[in-house]
Amino acid sequence: MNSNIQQFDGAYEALIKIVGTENVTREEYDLICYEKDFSLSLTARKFMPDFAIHVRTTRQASEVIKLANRYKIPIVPRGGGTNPWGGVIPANGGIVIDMRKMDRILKVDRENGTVAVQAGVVIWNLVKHLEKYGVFVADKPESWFAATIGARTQTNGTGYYNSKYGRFIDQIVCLEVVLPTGEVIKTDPPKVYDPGSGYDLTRLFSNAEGTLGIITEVTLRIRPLPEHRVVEVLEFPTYKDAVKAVVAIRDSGLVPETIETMDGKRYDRSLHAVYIDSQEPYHPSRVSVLRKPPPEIANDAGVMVIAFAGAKKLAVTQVELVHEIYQKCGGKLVPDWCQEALLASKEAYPHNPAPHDSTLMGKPFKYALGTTIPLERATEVFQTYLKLVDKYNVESRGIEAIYGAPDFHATICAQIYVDERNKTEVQIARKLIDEVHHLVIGLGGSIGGHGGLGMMRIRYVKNQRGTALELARKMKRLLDPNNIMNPGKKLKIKIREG
Amino acid sequence: MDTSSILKQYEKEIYSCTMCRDGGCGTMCPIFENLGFESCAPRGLMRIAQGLMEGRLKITEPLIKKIYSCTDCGYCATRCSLNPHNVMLALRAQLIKAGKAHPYVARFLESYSTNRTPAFAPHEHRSDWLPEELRTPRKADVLFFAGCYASHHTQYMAKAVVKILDHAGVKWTTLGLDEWCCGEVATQTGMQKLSDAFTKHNILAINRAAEELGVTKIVTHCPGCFKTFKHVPRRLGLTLKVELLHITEFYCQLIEEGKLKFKESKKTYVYQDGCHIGRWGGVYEAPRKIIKAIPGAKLVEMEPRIRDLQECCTGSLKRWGCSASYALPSIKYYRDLSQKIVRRRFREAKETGADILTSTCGGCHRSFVGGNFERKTVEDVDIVQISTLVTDLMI
Repeated sequence: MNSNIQQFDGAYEALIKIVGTENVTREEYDLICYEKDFSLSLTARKFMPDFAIHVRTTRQASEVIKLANRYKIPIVPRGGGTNPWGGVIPANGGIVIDMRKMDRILKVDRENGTVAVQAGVVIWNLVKHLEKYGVFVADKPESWFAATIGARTQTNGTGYYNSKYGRFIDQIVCLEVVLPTGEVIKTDPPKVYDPGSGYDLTRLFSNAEGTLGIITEVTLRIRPLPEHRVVEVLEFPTYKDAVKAVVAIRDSGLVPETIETMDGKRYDRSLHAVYIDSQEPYHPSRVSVLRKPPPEIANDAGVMVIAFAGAKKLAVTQVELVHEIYQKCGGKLVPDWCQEALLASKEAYPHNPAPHDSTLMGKPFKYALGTTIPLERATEVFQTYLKLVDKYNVESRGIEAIYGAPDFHATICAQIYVDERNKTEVQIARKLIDEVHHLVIGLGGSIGGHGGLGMMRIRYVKNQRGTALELARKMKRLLDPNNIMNPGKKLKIKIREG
Repeated sequence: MDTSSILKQYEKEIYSCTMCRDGGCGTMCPIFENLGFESCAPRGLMRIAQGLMEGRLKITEPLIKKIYSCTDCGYCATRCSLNPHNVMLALRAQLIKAGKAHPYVARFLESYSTNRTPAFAPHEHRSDWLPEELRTPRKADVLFFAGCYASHHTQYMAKAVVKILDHAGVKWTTLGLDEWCCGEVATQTGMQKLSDAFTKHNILAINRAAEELGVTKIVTHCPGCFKTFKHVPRRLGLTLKVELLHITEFYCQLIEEGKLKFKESKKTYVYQDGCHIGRWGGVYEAPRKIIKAIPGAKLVEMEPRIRDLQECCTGSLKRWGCSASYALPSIKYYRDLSQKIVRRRFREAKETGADILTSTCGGCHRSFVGGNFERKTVEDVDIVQISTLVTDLMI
């Protein structure tokens, strides 16, 4: 309870008038849960909002924004709350708009190949709904159980289908946005690709991390479910060989649906999580899949997950072709039972935040890296990261990369275990994160490759964007004159005192 | 708040919560889906526990209400190895210790000490559902553990079970007045020690029956009892000397042995997976097998919310909120919440086009029919408990 919202006595009542009593809260135990997302807290300071509210319609969202704009109250829209960089932390207090009550799937249009949804629909729910129609949206992030469509448009992270279909942004046909002054616009015609009747507003408002308005409705492309899918897991002597194989696959013109590499450590940790869980399931109904301990693997070995999907003949042929390619790079299939366990860990065990190592309990894992890098530099980043992990002596969860269409750029993600209550550990983690991000910028990569910039990575933005940043700031001022939309993110560090 | 003991046990778990990218603990949490604020999600509870440990939060009336909103469905525990459900139970235990528990907890405690059941009915009436000559334990193969709910409130369920057992020629007995509450309700309210004492009593009584009466199997009707006997003995360092089966598993055995046969029924059935029997008990197939064994019957599913992703009927909320479950006066907040969730679940069942909605759990059944009724037709869907269904159709 700390920002200038208190000066406006009637804020609570006004919000109630717009969205109803049960959708507004200012109870401390409710607000304490909005202080954090998946990111590492770099300071001990808490960022508590003043109110948390639900909106159910675009009109309500517009009314709330008008109210906030009139009284200059910061607004932070929030979806699944899984941002790894502090994108939904209310840096300046204000109102957190929890969008998850806008959860209706509005229209599945088979003819035009689109689906219109409200922004708060959870991706998994949409996927399951679309299965009934035999179609899918080509996006499967690791967070699909929690992430909402609206938030996905705003951060545009990686997903398992990136290699074939591109990023989430490529699946968007049209957005409905409530601007920071309360007007509602549609960015594009909702049914057809619009190549040039105006500026590309869809792309502008996607990826904005909630700084340019609130997304309330999204129209997405849908595609028929593939007839057949083959997934294979391969092991390479070194990580370098795995990346070499990715290059060879790119050059061969094959179109994998998923192509992902990880180091031996990440692979080993995934399998061990499944193995330990199979020994003593933490939940009685959990299905066990790994009865014997996973084989040993070197930390710097490479593991690749590759999937082909489509018409059965096509998928099978592509798999045959890819066999020749990876064999040349020294790759071989992992045993079936390991493959099964790894894929299970990707489906079910990502929901497993405990390190399965009692010495690490109390230390949640946090993102240390989530960047996009040109393919030929991927090995370099990987090696430097491992050196840094050694140098700072932090506990790593391994490193993984997803290669995305159209250029097979690598989006590298890595996590470390940090006890946020321990100041020294947090400082060390911060140094590591700084160093690796400066390296990425130096190598021509993008720091915003996974999960946007949030609060944590804003300090690198000047290095990354250079003179374009000033233009972006001008645009922001034009759209949001009172700087109410998610202040302190994307463009500038400006955090309220106190 | 004194954080030295109960919450402290789970300190590592509480601080291991990453608010993770998978956030799966909340997505299908029935309470989070309906109330929606982050504090209703399991990871929100972890934050609240942190807040209490750090002294940043005070226990207030609405917070207590929130902590007792959890339905104990166990969904979060299947999604997260940190088991937020345990933390929730610790929070409840902490509330009791701080003397700020839900007022009904005291009434449960009272009922436990005077009646040996949370059901507010005298212990000596526990076997009243049986004819007088069958109330004392006798030599038999199968021990039927009826549970508090069927013994005191929904006696038709217990009667249906013994009717089926008799029909199949099974020699059965009960523990008589040696049967106490299994302890599940005490666990859920945060009274772990009390619960353990009750479970221990029952285990010893069952083992005694194994020796004295020659019992080889124990079948439970109530999924809560099944869950308790499946998991708690190991924690207490005890073993059951008899084979533990849920009643549906036992029916399946009878069907396989040819002792239980059904007449034709050309209806469409949908099955509600209970939380205790499914997620905690791991019994997903047996009830489905029973339905499939009915000639002409068609089984449809409420995809994708089935098995470990099923949605709770919120029967346990009714314990706080509705008068029927354990004869408590109702609290509007919980009653309304429960109604909202169960109505949605019922809609899902109806959308499958089923004629009959069935469940194994007395709690689920009562949630759907909205009272202690044996069966009820709502919007053309017949809601029947699985044992009643078997008695209807067996030949």
